[in-house]
Amino acid sequence: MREDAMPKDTMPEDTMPDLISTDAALNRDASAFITLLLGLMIPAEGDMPSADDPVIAQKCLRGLSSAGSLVMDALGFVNDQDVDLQGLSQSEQVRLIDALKAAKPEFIAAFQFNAVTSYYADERVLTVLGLEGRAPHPGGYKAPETDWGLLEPVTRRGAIFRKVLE
Amino acid sequence: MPNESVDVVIVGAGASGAAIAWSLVDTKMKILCLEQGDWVNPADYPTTGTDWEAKGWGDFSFSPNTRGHETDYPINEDDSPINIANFNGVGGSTILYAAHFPRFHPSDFKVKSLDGVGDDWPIDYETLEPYYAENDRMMGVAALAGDPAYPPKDAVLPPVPIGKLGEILGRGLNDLGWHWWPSDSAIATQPYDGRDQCANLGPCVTGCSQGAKASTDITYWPHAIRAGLELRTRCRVKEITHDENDMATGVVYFDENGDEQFQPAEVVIMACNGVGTPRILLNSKSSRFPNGIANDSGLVGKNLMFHPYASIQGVFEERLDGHIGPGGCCIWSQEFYETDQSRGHLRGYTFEITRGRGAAATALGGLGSGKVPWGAGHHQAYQSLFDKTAGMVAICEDLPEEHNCVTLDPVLVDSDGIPAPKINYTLSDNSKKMLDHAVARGEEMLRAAGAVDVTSDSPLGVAGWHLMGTARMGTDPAKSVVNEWGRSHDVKNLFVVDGSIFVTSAGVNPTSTIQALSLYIADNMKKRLANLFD
Repeated sequence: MREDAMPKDTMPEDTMPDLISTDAALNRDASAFITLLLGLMIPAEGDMPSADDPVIAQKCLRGLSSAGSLVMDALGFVNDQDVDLQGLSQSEQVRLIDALKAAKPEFIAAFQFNAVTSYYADERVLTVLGLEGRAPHPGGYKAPETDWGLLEPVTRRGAIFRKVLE
Repeated sequence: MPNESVDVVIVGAGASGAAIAWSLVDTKMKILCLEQGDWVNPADYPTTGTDWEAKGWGDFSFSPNTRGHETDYPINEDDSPINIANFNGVGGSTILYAAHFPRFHPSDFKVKSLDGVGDDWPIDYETLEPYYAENDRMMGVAALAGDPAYPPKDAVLPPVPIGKLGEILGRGLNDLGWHWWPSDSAIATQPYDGRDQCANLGPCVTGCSQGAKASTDITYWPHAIRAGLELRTRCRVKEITHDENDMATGVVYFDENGDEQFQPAEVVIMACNGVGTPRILLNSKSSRFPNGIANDSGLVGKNLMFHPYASIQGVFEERLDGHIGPGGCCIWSQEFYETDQSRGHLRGYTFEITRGRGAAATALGGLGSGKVPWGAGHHQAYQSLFDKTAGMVAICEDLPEEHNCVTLDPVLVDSDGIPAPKINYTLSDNSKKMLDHAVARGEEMLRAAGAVDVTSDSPLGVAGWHLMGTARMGTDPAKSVVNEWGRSHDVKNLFVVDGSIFVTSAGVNPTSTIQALSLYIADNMKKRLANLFD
């Protein structure tokens, strides 16, 4: 990926230094590359934020910091295509991402894992999905009473275990 | 300074070690339990954060090779399609189990007589029944009495709520005329024995932050420790030693500083699961036992049984509230449990209906299957799956085969230099046929319940939760490792109480039976204290 293709304006200034300083394995180019992929993978729609949201992206970058070599390898692959990923049309982006998926499956697995576990743990995302935007504990959830009358056909049929005769 | 001798040393603080410790403590013997892991703080369990799914796949993964804690030991699984699941710490694998708590059926103890395969157990259901009941009380088992798949048994606590998801699948099962029942669950549905009531958090398999799930660190151990038993953590046992009379003299272990220690004991009890126990037995070599202690039969480590698992999942058009309730405990079906030769296989399986997938698991599953794309369409595709996916796993009975085994890896070692276990395992034709049958019937059931799309995964890879058969019990010393009450045929003060002693595997989760056996062995020891070694 060419340097001028980096989404420098993707994240607010105040989050960038923290990203770079806390994720020693990911340099500025790598962080920008991952953030761009996040936006391409899960774009904003309706009330759902994009995965390149600064808070979500920061979490993902932190998770990927131990996979720096995979990230740099993938970035190298994209750079070798000599195209501006961000500037491509949607269909061209899909083609390039497909090529990346085929060429760098280990990176894609690590990226998707971190992207998804960061995005779908975000309280705003959980709330839009209809869940309470919180951890399961300590609040827990209230379960409805069970209608045990549903078991009537099962009990009517009687015992089904195999008798063992000595 | 050498360790003071004890009457009994128990190796392992999991399901079986806890049960036998509690039962033996009333003998007033000096009992010590050595555990290689730590106590786990429930506040550290993943469900205290919204990122519980990521932590459940990381630090609290049920794969020791993924977890890679200092307290874990590596396992060579290269030659097995099913990988090992466990947890090393006080509570053992009950820390991460689903608490799905079925008993064996009476027929499970008579497999050879009834179906001509495997072997019969030297004990039967009636022998174990009082110990099942005692264990249900100690663990606080939630159940609904009257399940027609079992002989009558009491319920200690009210059953877990089955929720909207359970009711939808229950109706589907009713339409087919198939058996189903709320799962027996080692989960406190009311405050019980110092444990809080289940709050329906969802993922029990990453540890219960609520303290409602019956992991033995909060069931048996507090009672045993209050009664005077000592539990020493961060002690990794390397080998069992013996004297010239073929009697065990104690165990050698590495303490938390990595220093080698010797613990003398009059009785040694192994409770390290179906992989950990044969590992230590095989590593206890001497001129008398060149192939490992208690191994004159040559069967230590052999006859390893898992439960081959299939997962069958369906997508429904309505939301199912699948995040509410214990994830692995909802309803079960044992319609295909007992042998029916017309099905093309012998023995059978249990359907364990599970609750919904988490938000991240839904996305990862969708991305993996291609149902959820990158970019435009991601959210719409995701919404068609999230909280609309329900299904089950089939727990298939595995039969003992000597070539399925645990050996010592010649190269791989743990952080103390103890050889790691190596697993060699292949699926039998019977298991393959049973899995295929389960997938077909599972799909039929889900469609009857209203699923519009059904997928399956068989056999599941990281599904070696149940480790059995590697130090089997029996009356013939040439064909078994321990006798009918858990004592080694070769070393008369050495006992095994974990899943290693299973003769066959049944088609249900084994923890209830492991603990019932442990209590039964403890009772036999207590009755024979005067002549325990005769």
